[in-house]
Amino acid sequence: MTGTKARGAILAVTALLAHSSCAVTGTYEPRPSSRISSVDATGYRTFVRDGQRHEVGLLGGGAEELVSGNEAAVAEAHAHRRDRILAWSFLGLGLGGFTAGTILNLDQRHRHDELGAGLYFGAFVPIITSVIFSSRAWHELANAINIYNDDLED
Amino acid sequence: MERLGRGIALLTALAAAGSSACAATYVPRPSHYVVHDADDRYHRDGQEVAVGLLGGGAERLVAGDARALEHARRAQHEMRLGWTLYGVGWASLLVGAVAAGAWSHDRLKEGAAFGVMGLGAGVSLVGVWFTMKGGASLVDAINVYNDDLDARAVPP
Repeated sequence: MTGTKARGAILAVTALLAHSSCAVTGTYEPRPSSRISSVDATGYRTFVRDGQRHEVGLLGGGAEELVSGNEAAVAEAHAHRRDRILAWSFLGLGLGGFTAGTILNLDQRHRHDELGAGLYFGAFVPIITSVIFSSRAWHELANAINIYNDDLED
Repeated sequence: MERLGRGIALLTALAAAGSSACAATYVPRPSHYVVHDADDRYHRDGQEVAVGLLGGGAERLVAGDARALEHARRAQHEMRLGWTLYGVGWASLLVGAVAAGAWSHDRLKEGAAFGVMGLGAGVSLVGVWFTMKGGASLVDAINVYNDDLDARAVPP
């Protein structure tokens, strides 16, 4: 494949992926309401409140603004942000361990077999911890939204 | 370096022990609105309504609202189609891999087997896209239901 063709293929795949990620948002726009409604397929990323869209980032940014005005909900959103940051940090630590372990295992000049294997398999621990924190974070975000919406009905 | 590895493991174990495996789930108060909780369960009128991976239960969740039911049916259709394509894609990938191994001496047949594998990967990706579309249609069904509930409660 020539360079131009390869670039064309990469562009086409990127455009398709970008389009598909946009398309997984619902087609229905909820009516303006003080209740928080989710509008994306995952249910935990794009929200509508008072007719305005709010995005919650991968590190939990925007969650506190989404439920602002309700102390209990903001506390849950704050915990969500903390746990998202911890989840990504542990994932980075785990991937770093995998990479270091792989490099040491491939190094033929110096024998680091035990250390390499230790780092490689030890990396599973932070990755599993990352999954636990990630799961906690989603729980906290859903709790924050439900607390906020329930308190509106009072 | 060995100490570093042990340090990472110890730090991780401490952090994991410091946090319970799952956060507590807030149970939404009984309401006429359809509510999605942290354990991926849906609630309506104080009752729990289960919605399966293939969209089963979506119609029951928004029953009584014709507009929302349309979205729920679409969600069910997209989820079923998505999971079917995902399964077919994976089956093609496996068949292609086995065939590529068996025909490694024949370049033409091996090429065809790799083609089947590539096609399988593509089909399963389309399947994933349809399941996500189904999820979005379910979200639409819930938003339509809740909006119509508000519209009925406060006549214009």
